[in-house]
This record gives sequence, structure tokens and C-alpha cells, in this order.
Amino acid sequence: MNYFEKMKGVSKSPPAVSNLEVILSWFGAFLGMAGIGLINYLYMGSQENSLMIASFGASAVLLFGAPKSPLAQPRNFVGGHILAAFIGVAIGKVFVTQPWFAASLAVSTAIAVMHLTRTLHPPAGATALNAIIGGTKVHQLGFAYPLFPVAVGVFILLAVALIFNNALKNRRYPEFWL
Amino acid sequence: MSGTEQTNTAFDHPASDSVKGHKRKTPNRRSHEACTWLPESNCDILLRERLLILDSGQRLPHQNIVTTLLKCPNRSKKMADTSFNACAPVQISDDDIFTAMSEISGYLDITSSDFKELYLKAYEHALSRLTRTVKVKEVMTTRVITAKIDSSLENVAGLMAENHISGLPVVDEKGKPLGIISERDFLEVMVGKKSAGLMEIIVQCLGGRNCLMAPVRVKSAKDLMTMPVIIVGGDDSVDDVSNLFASKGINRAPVVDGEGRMIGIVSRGDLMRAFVTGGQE
Repeated sequence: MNYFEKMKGVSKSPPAVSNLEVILSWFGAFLGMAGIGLINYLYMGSQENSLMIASFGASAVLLFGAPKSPLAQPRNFVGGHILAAFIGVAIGKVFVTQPWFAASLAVSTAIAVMHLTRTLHPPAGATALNAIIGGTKVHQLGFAYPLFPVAVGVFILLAVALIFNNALKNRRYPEFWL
Repeated sequence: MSGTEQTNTAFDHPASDSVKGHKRKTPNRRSHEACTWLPESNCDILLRERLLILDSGQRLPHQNIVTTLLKCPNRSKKMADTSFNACAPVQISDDDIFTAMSEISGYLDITSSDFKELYLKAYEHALSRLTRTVKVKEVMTTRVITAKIDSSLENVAGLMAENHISGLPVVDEKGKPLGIISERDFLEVMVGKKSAGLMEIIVQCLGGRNCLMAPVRVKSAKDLMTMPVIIVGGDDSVDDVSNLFASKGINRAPVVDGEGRMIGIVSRGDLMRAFVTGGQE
């Protein structure tokens, strides 16, 4: 297959899921995000959104939209986010004067480390990126960022995924833990 | 029709030794539910055989896959989402999949259990797609030994013995199939009751009662044949015919053209032989 032939693709998009699956993904993701948002609202004060980071939205896609994917499993979800958060903070501190470089290196390094540790979780790339571009509030957290908000939010979302996905006959979660 | 043909797997035609081997090891039980055609344990043996044929580099025409249909006509109903029955194409293990995945360099976004389910379902679809396109006339036997309606039973039995077949169709003067006579029909007429076996005849003869060849001597083909005969069209797919055989519990059926004239006969043996020899005589 030559260079340009490769760009045409070789297969077709997988079939659509059932309507029930759509509703379950929708409802599960709502509950997951509501879990984080509500705890944030009750304990952190209404105006501060310190517990909620954007990459949790991406994780909700996997945990509730594709719960059988290896990328959505607890090992990947928890491990990926926490490792990527550490990497993001560390690289942000080293290259504090070159944010464009720090951002690129944080995401790419996070991917490499997740591969090596078999914890690949796509949303965690955003967690690493957020450590660089998340503004002064995130920068002030320093190495606490992997614990709060990342680990705390991750475990809330994981709890909702376990409760919700296993409550239904046609769903189960996880496929594996470690 | 059903109930008249006890003869196993219709090995009317010389089949390869390996198939005879199956027969020896596990006698066919027609009442078997999961695999109407063959006991489940044979599924694996057949499969291994097929893999061997593939390994040996012989070209294996796609119609030979029909044998898998022989194994499990009810396969799609039997195969539930996560429970795989003994007729699965290969007893593929999670470790097999894990090893295969590690041989592919990129990241695969699928778990081994999902893959296994997909693989088995895709296999089913492939089988049914292939067998829907194979017509019965491609696998049938064209040289058919037939009896006339007024043939004496002595002649019929002679034909069957001479040609080493366990059943033959009875045709009218235009070549239209009217009925089928099998070994089973002979046994029944000799004992005088349905579903008689050879041992029952021996018991009756040793007991000195009702051991009469007389009915066989006086009767002709039309008295003994099972009718109406179940026929299949030459253009019918092997898939459909396999299911018909399984549902009716029959071992062979005359194949007819558009005018109802017999153009051949198809037996389980035909399908089996095509599978084992790779379609090459």
C-alpha cells in the first residue's frame, strides 16, 4: 500500500448502537458529571469549579459511551489520569517560560508513559495539558493537582460508572481491573 | 419420510478414511439436538481436519465449508451472546487472542472477550454467506441408481447391495422421483413393525416366530417406498438443503430440474466428501 493509498482508509465505520444504548450513555454520563458537579457545589462553594476539569467530560464519553473499551477500564482511567497529571505538573514547572513547548511535551510524554504502563486513556492527555494551560489556579496547586482535583474527581466518576453500568442487565463494568 | 432412514450419514459413496474414522469412533445419533447431523465431539475433529487440509496447502473450494452446517444446523439459535457451544469453529482461548494482539504492533481498542464474541459471530455470518451461494447441483451425485415402481424387491435389494448404497429413489417412466427405499424399509417389512433394527430381526428369527422373507418376495418397490418423496431443486442453496435435511431428519433427497425430472441425488455423504477431499475426486 503506497503513501496516498493509505489515506483512503481500508474499512467502514462500525454500525450504530441501539437506541437503548444511546439513552443509557446519555443518562450515565449525566449522572457521572452530576456526581462531580454536585460534590463540587456542596463542598467547594458554588462559584468555584475547582473539582471539575474538562478532561472528565472526555472520560465520561468512554466510561458511559464505550464501557467495554480497554481505554475505559479502571486501570487506564485511574492510572492514566494520575500519571498524566504528574507529568503535566512536572513539565510545566521545568519549562515554565515556554508554555507552548511544555504543553506539547506534556501531552506527548503522557501518551508515552501511559503506553509503557498499559494505562492509555485518551482524556488523560487533556489532564496533562490542563496542568500547563489551566491558569494560575492550577499552577498554584503544584504537585497537589494529581490528587485534587484529578484523583478525587476520577474516583467519583469511577464510583458512578460502577454503580450505573452494573445496575443494568445489558451492561457491565469493568472488563478488568488491573 | 423421517423414520425410514436410519443409515448413518449416508455414506453411499466411498468417502475418505478419515470420515469413516469419525463414524467408527462416534456412531451417529440422529436424535442429537445441538448437532443434528453429527455428535458434537465430531465438530472439533472435522474442524481439525479442515485446518489440516488448509495446512497442507490444498486449495479448499468455499463450498466445502458446508460441512460446518452439517455439524450444527441450529447453530445460530444455539449460540448465545457469551456462551459458546461445542460447535464453535475453533476453541479459541483468551490467551490465543492475547498473544495474537501482542503480535500486532499498534494499540487495539478491543478486549479479548469482545473479540471472541465478534469472531464467532462473524464466522457464522461468513459460513451462511458462503453456503447460500453454493447450489446443490454443484455437490450432488449425478450417477443415480434408481428403481422402477414395479421392480421386485429382490431387484431393489440387489441394486443396493451391488452399488453399496443404503437407499435409492424410485422413479416413474419419465424419470420423476416418486419415493425412496432404504435399508430401514426392508427391516421394517421383515419384522412387520416400525423402527425395527437388525437385532430385532435376529431375535425374532432365533425365537422362531415371524421370521418371514415372504413379504419381501411378493412385494414390489411401490409397496415399500416411502412417499411422498422430499425433493430439492438443483438451484437450491446448500444452506437451505442442509436445514431441510436436519428438520426432516433425512439422509438423502433427489434433486430435480424445473420440470420435476431427477438430475441427481444429494446425500449427507456428498457434502461430507466434498468437504474432506476439497471437492476434488
